[in-house]
Amino acid sequence: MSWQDLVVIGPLVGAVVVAVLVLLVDLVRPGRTVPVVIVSVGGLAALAALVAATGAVPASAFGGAYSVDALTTYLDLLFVAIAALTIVFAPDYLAPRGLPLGEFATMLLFAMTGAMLIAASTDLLLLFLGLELMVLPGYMLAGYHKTDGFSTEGAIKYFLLGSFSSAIFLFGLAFVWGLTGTTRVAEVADALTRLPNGISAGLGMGLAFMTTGVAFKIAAVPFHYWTPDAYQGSPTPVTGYLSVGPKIGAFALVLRLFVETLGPLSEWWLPVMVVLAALTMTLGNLVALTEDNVKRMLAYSSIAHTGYMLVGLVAYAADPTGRVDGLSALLFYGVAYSFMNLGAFAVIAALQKRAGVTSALSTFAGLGRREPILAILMTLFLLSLTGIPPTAGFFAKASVILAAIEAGGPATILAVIAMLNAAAAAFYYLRVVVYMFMREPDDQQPVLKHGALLWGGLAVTSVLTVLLGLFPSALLEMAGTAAGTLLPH
Amino acid sequence: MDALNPYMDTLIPLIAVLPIAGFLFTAAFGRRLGHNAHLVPVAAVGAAWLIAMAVVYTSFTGGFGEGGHLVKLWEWIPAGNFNVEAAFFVDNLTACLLIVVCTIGLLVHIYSIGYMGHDTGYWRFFAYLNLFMFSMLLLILASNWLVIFVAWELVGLSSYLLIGFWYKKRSAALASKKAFLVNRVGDIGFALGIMAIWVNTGTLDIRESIEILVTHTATLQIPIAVVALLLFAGAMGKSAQFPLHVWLPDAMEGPTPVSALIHAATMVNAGVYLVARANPIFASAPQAMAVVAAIGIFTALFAASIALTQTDIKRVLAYSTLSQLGYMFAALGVGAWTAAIFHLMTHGFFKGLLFLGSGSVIHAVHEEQDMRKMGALAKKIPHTYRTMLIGTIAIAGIPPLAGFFSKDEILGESFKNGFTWVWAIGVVVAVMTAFYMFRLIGLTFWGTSRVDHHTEPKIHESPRVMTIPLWLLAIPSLLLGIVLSWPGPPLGPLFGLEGPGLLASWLHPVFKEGLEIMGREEEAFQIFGIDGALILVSVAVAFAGMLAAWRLFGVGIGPIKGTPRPETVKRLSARVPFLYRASLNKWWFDELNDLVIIRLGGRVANALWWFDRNIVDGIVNGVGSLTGRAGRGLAGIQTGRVQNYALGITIGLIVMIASYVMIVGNGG
Repeated sequence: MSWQDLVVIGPLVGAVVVAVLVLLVDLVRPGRTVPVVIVSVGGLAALAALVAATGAVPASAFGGAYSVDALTTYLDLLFVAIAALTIVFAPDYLAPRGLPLGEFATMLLFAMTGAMLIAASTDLLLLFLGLELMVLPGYMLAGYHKTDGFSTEGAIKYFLLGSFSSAIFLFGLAFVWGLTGTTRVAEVADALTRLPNGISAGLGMGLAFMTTGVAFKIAAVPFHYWTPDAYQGSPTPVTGYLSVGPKIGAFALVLRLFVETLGPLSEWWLPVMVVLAALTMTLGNLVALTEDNVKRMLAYSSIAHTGYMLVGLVAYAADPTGRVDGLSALLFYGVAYSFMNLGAFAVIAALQKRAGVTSALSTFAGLGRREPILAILMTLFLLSLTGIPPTAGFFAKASVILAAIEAGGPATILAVIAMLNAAAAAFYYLRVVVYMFMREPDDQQPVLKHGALLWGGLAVTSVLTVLLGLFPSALLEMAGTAAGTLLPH
Repeated sequence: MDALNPYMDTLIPLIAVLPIAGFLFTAAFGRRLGHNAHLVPVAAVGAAWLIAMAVVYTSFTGGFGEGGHLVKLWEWIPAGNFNVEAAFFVDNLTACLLIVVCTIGLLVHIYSIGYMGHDTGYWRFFAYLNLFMFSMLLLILASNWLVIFVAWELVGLSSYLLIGFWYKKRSAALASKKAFLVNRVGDIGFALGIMAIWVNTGTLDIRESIEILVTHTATLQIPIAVVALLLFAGAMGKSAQFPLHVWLPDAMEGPTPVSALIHAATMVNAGVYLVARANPIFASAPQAMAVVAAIGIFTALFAASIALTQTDIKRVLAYSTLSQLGYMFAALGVGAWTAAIFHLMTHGFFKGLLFLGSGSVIHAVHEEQDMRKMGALAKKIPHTYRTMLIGTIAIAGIPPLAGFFSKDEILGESFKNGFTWVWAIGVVVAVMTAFYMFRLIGLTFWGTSRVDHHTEPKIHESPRVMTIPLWLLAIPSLLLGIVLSWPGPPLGPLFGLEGPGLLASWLHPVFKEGLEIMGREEEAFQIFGIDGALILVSVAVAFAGMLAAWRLFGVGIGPIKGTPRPETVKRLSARVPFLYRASLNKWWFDELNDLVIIRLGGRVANALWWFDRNIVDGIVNGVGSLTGRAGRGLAGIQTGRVQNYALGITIGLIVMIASYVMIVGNGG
């Protein structure tokens, strides 16, 4: 390891340092919220600055296993923002339940480090390492409410199935290694373009195992079973995080693996992805229609959003001219989705400040009168999730669908399915709005007092949801640059 | 003032940004501000007014050049070949509208401080007013069709909110719904028109698309006349032209400042603005122009005939507004675009004045709107009386007040452009206008008092915060006609001056292209020829209407005295019973709508309902229960048992391997 390498992995080291600092603060001042928030959010701000500063120049380390490029920077900034917002939203939920913030923030920061490692990995083993580093703290977070049976149950299921799928994924990687003799992304891609006997059944097996593993991590149908149980059981701020952080992290894996490494085989994995995307959108929305629990409903909604993002991947793979529109749409979608979904979960978490409040639909009845600002913000997030202009969600959906239409072929069919799904989804999102503004609550519920942190976080997510709808071009451009780095040069 | 020119790119957006900021602030904190809730909205509109005046000055002094000034803000929708820019555009036409919207908007804001003072929804009212100002300014500043459409819907929304401001009153809630629905009909046309423009030209930029449309008229996919008529459909909805006029009289359920601002001076002019903005498109489609002229002049006649007999003071003014808007469309239809905008401006001021005046009257007699329960108010509310009298003389078309100049220009141009039928009907409407307006003044201010005994002693003039805006509106009602037509006809030639009037020279660049397409040539103005004769006719009919009203409903201007003759009115109306009842019942239009839409439509709807319930629902319910069952079935997979999940994943993996092997086998 040279001095140079250390500079390149600076942001990763920085992330670990912030996590350790939070742990230390928690050691000195156990159970206190404010110092943890100050150190973690301040540390993350500094980390973001470091990422932006070092990301300006593409560089690689460890003999090409680790690279920093526009994509790494784009994703790292998003991961940092997700972590910061999750920490900001958490105290209002954790404190009344006697759950400490310190350990929560530490685990979250380690998970973020894992996601950052995925974004920068150009080696298959390192990718796997990053994936595990990202999901392991996630299992712990899911079971963070130790005395709550649901939380523990969800966590155990998440852990068992997650390990199972990780093993499947690793098995797939082994096939690729066996056939190409290398784990470096660039070398694998190179070897795959020059297969002596064309694609073999063994490579097909490898693809099958890798696709399955990844489909589990992004919660694509039919590998989504863990999602509703883990989401419903987890403490609500964790659910918000799980629906965003590990999902975007897993999509980073998809980009590094399926586009950068397995890009030469896109002809082979394209049909599978088309089916996965169609199934995921449709089933996610269909089941969400029947759910009366908002957390569970948003769990299925997050499955549907996975499907929309997969449409971007398909649009890329199906485009005969090799444009990156689909990938940049996917990256834009990731950002838009993160902020609107985190915002929606933050509102649910805020309502559950009073322990014992469930996330049932009836909790939202009369919210418009009781807490109008919270209700208006929730409406904004739901409208954005539906995809109504001029919100971030609209441009996210529009750019994915437009990319699919321009790609043509099977992507066109997916574009149609996506539009039909978007229309159907409006029903269950707007149902919550109806409850908030047009239903009287069954019993008198007190107006809650929310912390300044929560309001600050909501301000950030809502302003971004609106701004990305009004001024999408700046982010679209960044996403385009980031996507461009994935193509062979 | 030229020192401001470098900052125009910042100042122009501010005109729209200030009111929306005021709206957001008031919506968030207005409730807590209580009776100070007006401060921020009024300040926001005041500042917007100042900036607008600087922009107007720059525009009129040629600071933006002939083509106007474009302020690019950002690329709003960058999606392949569908690009929409968020941009503002100012030329002299925009400047004319800025004067009307900002000035009257500001005065109505100030007036409302007094008028709405006792209302519990004080802050809500000002928030909505600011929202409306933003929407209206966005509409006139927009540089592409999509933004205009968004603003078009936003003014519709704020109008809806303000008509239904007293939403607990059933009639107000119904009226707001009616306005919203009727406007939707026009909006469909407008939306289709915009789509047709896009299909034809591939751009939504207003000037670019117009340029392409008029240069490639012959090869368009959708004929230009269709585009013009679709745009006009949108204009008809917003500007309440027959048969989409039904919402405007009902809109009077809103608070009176709203009627003055939105339903007299600004929003209802949006249609006129739209047609004027698209003048080359209309000029390329003479058939569409004829339709515009016919609908316009018919609305003018039809609405004036109703205004003759209405007893509700605000309804008379509402029908009068319809009638005057009809004049403007007639002017647009005969190609007298400058005259249309001229009338838009003068009408904005004197009708705004008349509405605010009527509000002051209603305030004085304790929320009574029926003129049969008024009378002899001239002495008791002198400021209101004097200003309303000025407004009435102005609208009646008596020189040298503002309305005379603009109306005369419309009539004269119609005649000279060969639309003698438009001119003839227009002259009849001019008699009626003078008549119903002096009837209004006679019933309200002159004659004997018919005010309720309990209210009689409590009649009082409105506070200064309301009367000062009235006087400030009276000034342009007096002078705007002379100022804007000077030094051109009709007064210029009397003093030996030549050349076009002020407004005509300002608007020349805007309408140049349309006039060229139509092949119109400027004719010399003959004060001692045809033009002079036409002016004499205009003046004569205005006086005829006025004198007839004086004779029947009384008069009391200084030495001119006359007592009302209610028996004569009764006798005369009994002589033409059908016409009288037709006017009184608004030509049974609401009943017709009731019959056609509610009853007949109801029958059709019932039939459709049967079809829907038995056939469509059967299908839909089938699909619905199928999806519901599918959803529940799929949810049923979610057993909660981790072994089942693992099994599911394993099955998925096997299917995955099988499909990959199949794909690879087929391909390799």
